[in-house]
Amino acid sequence: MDVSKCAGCSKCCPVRQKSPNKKGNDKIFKGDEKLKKIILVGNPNVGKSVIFGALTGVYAEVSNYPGTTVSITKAVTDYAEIIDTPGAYSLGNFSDDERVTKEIIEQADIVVNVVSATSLERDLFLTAQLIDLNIPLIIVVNQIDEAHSGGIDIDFKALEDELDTKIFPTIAVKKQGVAEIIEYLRSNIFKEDFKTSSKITETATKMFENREVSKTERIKELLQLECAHLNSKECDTLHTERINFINSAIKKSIVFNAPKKRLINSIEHFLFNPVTGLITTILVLYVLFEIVGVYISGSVVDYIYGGLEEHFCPALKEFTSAHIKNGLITEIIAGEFGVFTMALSIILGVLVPLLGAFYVFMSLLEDSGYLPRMSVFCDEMLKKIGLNGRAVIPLILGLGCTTMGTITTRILPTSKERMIAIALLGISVPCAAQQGIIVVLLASIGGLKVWFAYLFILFSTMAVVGTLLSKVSKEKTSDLFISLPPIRMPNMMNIIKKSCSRLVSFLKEATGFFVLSSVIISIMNYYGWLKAIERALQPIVVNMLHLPSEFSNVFIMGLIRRDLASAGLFEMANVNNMTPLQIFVSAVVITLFVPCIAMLIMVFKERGIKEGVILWLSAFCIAIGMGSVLTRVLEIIF
Amino acid sequence: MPTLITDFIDKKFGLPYNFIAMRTLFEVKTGETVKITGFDPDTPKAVFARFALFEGQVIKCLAKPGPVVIKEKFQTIAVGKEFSKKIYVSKGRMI
Repeated sequence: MDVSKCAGCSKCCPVRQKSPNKKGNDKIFKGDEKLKKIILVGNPNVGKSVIFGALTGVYAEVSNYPGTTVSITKAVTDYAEIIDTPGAYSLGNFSDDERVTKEIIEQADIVVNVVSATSLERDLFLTAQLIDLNIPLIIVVNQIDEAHSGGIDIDFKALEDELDTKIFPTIAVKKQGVAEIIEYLRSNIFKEDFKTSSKITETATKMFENREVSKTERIKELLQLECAHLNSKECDTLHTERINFINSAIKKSIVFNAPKKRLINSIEHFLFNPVTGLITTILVLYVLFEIVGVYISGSVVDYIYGGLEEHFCPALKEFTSAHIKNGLITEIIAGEFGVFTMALSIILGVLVPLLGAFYVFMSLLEDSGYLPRMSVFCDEMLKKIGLNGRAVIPLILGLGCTTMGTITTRILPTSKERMIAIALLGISVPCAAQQGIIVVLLASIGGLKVWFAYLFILFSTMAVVGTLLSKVSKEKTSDLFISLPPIRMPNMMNIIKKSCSRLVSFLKEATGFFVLSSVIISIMNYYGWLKAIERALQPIVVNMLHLPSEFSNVFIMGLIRRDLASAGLFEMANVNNMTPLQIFVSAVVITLFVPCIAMLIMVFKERGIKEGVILWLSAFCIAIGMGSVLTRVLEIIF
Repeated sequence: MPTLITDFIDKKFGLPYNFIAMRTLFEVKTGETVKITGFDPDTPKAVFARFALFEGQVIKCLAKPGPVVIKEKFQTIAVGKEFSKKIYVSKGRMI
């Protein structure tokens, strides 16, 4: 096999078994005991997931912001089990990521330390810690093309001598240099004497002199020295030794040339300026609205969904009523809430085009490096509701899928911040599918200004909920301290791969729910139970919200999934002649309505059942309360 | 205090680099280039070192949209207000 020609395709690195991308950390300990474990460790945003993908052929989501990988991803190749870890700046106890990484390293046979050529001074701190652990180690210096264009020249031979570790320069996105890593790992993995670096600090050498300690003990003792005995003499000495080691390695192997004045620097200044930064944010929202609300809904959705409604659904109804005598089956297949006439029509005609456009747009924002800059820009604002700027990342990802946003709250350092972010996601952040439909509905009743009014209500709710929760919790909000990834031209291949992967995940997760709900609601409709529920919910729907009694069906759908409720509202707005005011209030109510089942399960897992139940009940009360107030206020104004 | 005088006092009394004119990163103006002279003694140095912020490192303040955004060679770091008060820097010069 000629590995030099291929870097990580399924032929060269056959993947015998792969786990889903986002697995709980506990799964790491249940791997194949006979296989060697290779752990990819490195600072956030240095390209670990790209290297993982190139080594294994398994696609792990890749983005240009720290915190893309929030849990462990693993794949089994024919020579080892390879594990991708969340980015960690050090092996300390400063964040969950660092704690998780530390625990995984205890299980490692070989550690592949991925560092970025653009930030070696920062990344070598973790390398120095790894060297002190005296474990089999290789170093991958990634992003060498970016470093070169930024004026950084690296002498890899000198760096290898300084660190006394095998070094592989790579440009992982182009798969350059990856074949050499695979070849090296393949031929050396089973060697008993896999190379460990001799550049252990004097303090660490003295600590473990004439003592046989396990890897776990070694990590524990070193961390105790670094953190527990703050500013002790040994701690200071260890620290100084590491800094000297890094400085010496940098001095002997790297030349920093004066960087050219580049367009990227001007963009950076532009984004951080309070005025131009705000204008950019508004412009980004406007473009999103134009693409999703006007272009996609006005042309693609109208064409596909309109075609299905006009031609396919009537033909199917005719066919089923002519050939199927059983009324219930006809209702399930082609009734008002039928599997084909509602569930699949909405998925194919509305959600696939809207979500496709939304995911591409989001991926562009993520990969350009704009997202972490938004974190900085929003830090002051989020501080007022008990969060710091980093919370922008789960909140923005929640716009794609609130369940994914909930998992990403793991990047937040304190329990208080995670609690507030999850509450905001559960109450006032609409998922992409829901948002897409709502944008289309709002565009039809008044365009951009109605959408901004809707956003204003959501942001106000966020502000009130966040402020209240911040007051309730006594824990202190952590301060922002993040390394910002460079502004990059997004890689179109990655954008397409990521958007398709997200769309497929959505379809896998949502189709079953849509079909099942459609069957249940059709049965309820056939036996007249829907009417009974409509009557029971009349005090809320009709008396409080001033909406048509059929809106109770949307409520039932909303209990299962929020996007399903939006789909129901979309159908209802088309069939019943709802007034613009009713459509607006309905859009607000279903956005603030209870979290979907998938998110609720994730909240139970992340925060416990008690908090999950409180969140569910609060969302219900807030949605109804806000809807009632809004209806009355709008009725007075208009 | 004029630079020459503070430099003289630092040198005369063997004080750390620019000790007399020392201030925190929080006080640095946008566009200034400064040298890190020390850290808050109650915070582990590893907190800063993991972002390559060591004593003697030269950094440039890019912007202050709330947090202080600094540039250290090729990497850009956003330091929250509280953390920026824990980083001591020398007096700097405008770029």
